[in-house]
Amino acid sequence: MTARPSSTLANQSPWRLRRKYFLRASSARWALIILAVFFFTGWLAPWLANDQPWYIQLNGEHYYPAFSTQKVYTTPEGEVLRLAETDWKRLKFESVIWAPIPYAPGKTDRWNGYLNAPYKGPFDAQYFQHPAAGKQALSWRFRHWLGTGRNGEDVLSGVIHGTRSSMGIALGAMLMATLVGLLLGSLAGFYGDNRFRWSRGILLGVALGAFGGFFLVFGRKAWHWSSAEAMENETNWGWGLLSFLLLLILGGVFGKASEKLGRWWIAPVRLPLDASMLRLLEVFHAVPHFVLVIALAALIVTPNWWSLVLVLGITSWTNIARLVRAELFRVRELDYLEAARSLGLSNGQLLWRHALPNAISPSIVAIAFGVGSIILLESGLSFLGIGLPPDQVSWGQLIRSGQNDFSAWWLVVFPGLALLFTVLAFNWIGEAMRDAFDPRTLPGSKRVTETTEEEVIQDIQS
Amino acid sequence: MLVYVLRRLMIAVPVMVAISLGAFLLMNAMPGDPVDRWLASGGNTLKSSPAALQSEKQRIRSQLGLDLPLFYVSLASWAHPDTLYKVTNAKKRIWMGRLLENSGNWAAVERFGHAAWAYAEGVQHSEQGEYLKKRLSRIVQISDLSEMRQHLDSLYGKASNGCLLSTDLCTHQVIFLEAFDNLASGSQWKTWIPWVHFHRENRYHRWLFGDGNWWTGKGGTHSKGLLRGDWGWSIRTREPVGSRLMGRIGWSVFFTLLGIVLALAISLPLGAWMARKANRSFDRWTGALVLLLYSIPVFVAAVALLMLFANPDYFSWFPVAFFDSDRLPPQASTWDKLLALLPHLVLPLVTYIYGAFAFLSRTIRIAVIEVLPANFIQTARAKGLSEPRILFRHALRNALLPVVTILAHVLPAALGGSVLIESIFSIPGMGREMVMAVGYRDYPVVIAIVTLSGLFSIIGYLLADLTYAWADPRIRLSKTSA
Repeated sequence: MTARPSSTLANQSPWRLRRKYFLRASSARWALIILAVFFFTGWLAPWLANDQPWYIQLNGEHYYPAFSTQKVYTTPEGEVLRLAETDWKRLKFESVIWAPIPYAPGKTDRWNGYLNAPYKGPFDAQYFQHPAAGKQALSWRFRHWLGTGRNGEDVLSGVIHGTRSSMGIALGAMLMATLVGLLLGSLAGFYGDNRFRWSRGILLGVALGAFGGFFLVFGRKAWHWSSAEAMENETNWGWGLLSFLLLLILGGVFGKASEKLGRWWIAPVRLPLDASMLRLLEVFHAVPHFVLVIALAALIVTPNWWSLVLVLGITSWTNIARLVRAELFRVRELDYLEAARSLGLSNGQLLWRHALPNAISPSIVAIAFGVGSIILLESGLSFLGIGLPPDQVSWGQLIRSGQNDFSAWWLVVFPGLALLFTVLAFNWIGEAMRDAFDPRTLPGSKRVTETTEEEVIQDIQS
Repeated sequence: MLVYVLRRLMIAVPVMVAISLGAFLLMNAMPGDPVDRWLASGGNTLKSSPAALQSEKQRIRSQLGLDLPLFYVSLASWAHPDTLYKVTNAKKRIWMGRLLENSGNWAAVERFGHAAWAYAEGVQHSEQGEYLKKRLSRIVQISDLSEMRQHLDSLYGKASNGCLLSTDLCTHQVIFLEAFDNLASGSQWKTWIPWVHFHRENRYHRWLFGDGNWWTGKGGTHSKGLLRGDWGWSIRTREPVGSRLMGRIGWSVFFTLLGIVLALAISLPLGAWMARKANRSFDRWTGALVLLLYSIPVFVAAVALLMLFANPDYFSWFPVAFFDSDRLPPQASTWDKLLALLPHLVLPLVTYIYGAFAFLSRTIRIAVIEVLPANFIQTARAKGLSEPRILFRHALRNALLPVVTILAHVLPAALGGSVLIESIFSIPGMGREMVMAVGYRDYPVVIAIVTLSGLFSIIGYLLADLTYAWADPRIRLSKTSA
């Protein structure tokens, strides 16, 4: 039997070490727990908090309304139950299992809110109207644990469903920002201003392809982009993007073929990727992030999850791009990369397999902080009323509704706490990662660079 | 140094142009008809007769420059006229555009389109039955040519004797059928040929240079142009954007500056002290507290403060609404005004300070920690200086350099960026103006605020870099070698 290799420093990969150092911080462990709770709450929100029961038995038949995609039920007596509209708590069932929080977000409970007595606090007496016996105290099973809004909307249910929108939008937007940031940052950092060369033929082909694609998507249907409504309703963005990419590739292929034509077509042209990316970065960086986001949000006719992901994603990539670029500037000068190049690896392989894995750790830290800040941005937008539409609950919106009546503190405190803990958890994770990724904390590894000041200088230089 | 400044300026100018251009082109695509919003913002000034309303709309359109193409260059197809943008109704424009895409003959599309649209509108206001109205006005929803042919055939019958539905339809028979024949026999291939149009007169040009002579500005009627300080008209308030923003910028600057100064006054000693006690319990606890503060969203804190301290249920210490000098008696002196203003400032300032303070003290802590192991600190210690003196005179001074950079970044951002605080405390500043402008889709104001905040940021960054270059000789030195 062979002995398992003992875990000496020599056979521990840097990532394993980093994970170890990361988990050593108690704040990071807490943050992971908090985030797991929030993540699963958001994921399971439609089943955790729903006014449709999990299970009902009605006239001998079994139904599972909360899990079913069937929207309309007909009982044997011919009574029609519409999932969205039915007031399930008025119905008589033979047996029933309610969701843990038996309220849907944003739905009116007219006995614990509404015109006669808006806003019930978590500690206030709550009532329901019994068909026969009249006004009665609400049993604990149907209590609004975190109070209600003006029209009796359950706050706990709102917070749970708000988790879903906040987490979903923030993670989606961060994914998009990461992809864009990594792409632009690594192109700029790895190739710099001098290393990216295309032959004249390819350059012309791609430029022509881009022109053609632009013409197909926008030019030919110029009336589409006369207004945002037209762009949203008329333009088929999927096909547009696809045909654009197709033409681009086609242009590249023809360009490559044109290199056979002669000397002139082969002559390489230098593309200043780094300088152009930096200018773009500066444009995005100069307008304050929140101002940029609300300006772009004004362009959207009917806001939804996807539009918010788009708006937040295309404005949040700058940090990641900047960090990846700075790291690649350092990494690409290292000897091992030179060695890999001398082995004849292509630029793509060098970048993807060798340079990027060693340049990515600062941007992973930035991603953790970034998700937190995107959550803040999203709830800020909803708070101002330009985020999600009113029929989709989010934390910011709940807090906004608390602004109408200052005595309803529960409308601010509970969503505010949820927001606070999520952001705090992401910040903790970011901090712990930063410490764990710091080369100074890795025993046995030499510090490769001097501290951040060097990078600052580098940044100002460029 | 001069070369460095010039180099920076040469980079800053194109970035500025790019920001203004991007903001202008994007924000002009805001959904909805600006003319309708302009009319709605004025209250009860609607003209009684449709004709008067039309001419009023036309006047507003030319005042806002909406009768011009967007930019100097536009890419369209060969069949595309450079007059489609003049069709003001967005639905009509899209419908005619689609017809054009299927036909390729603009003259026929124009003839048919205008006639059919006018007819369909007339039908809507006529006394016909609902079913008939629906059928007759379907013309303007069809853009497919064969479908249109079928629809016309079914309206008029196979023989052209089918004026059974309405006599009105008969009078349009000739124009519909004739124009449609032209339209259907158009040269559709023309829509596949790219065509670049150039426009000397366009909205961007007018926004920048006004509608007079671009250099002298003479002869303009509607706008003097941005370069002469004219930002255009606000749709929401019907005021010039420039003067509107001028009245707003003061409050934003006041709060931002005061907030930053107060935040620095707290965070400088705190950050330095945390650095001195780095990784000990004081540092850990304060660090955790500061991170906690930093994580509380500004708007949650602001609403919570209002709930607690501006609420008769708990402590009614401060007012909810912002200071309004009109409420004071007219003979009130400046001193009285200041005194009345003070309680309005407390809660907003607290909100301003706590966010910046958390961020700044963390930054200062890190900067001081980096400086502390330096040789000159050892020297100071060897000289026998007291520990606070070393910390605050020697270490902090050298750690201030990154703080200067951050300040230069924070200032311009806060100028346009305190959107949430201003909205909550109803401070009439730039951020609140931005929210109201976005809510009303008042795009000239949005363009102006985005461009202005970009301008301020670029000036701020420029100043920061220059300060840095001035303070740290390594930057200038390594520049020449690069």
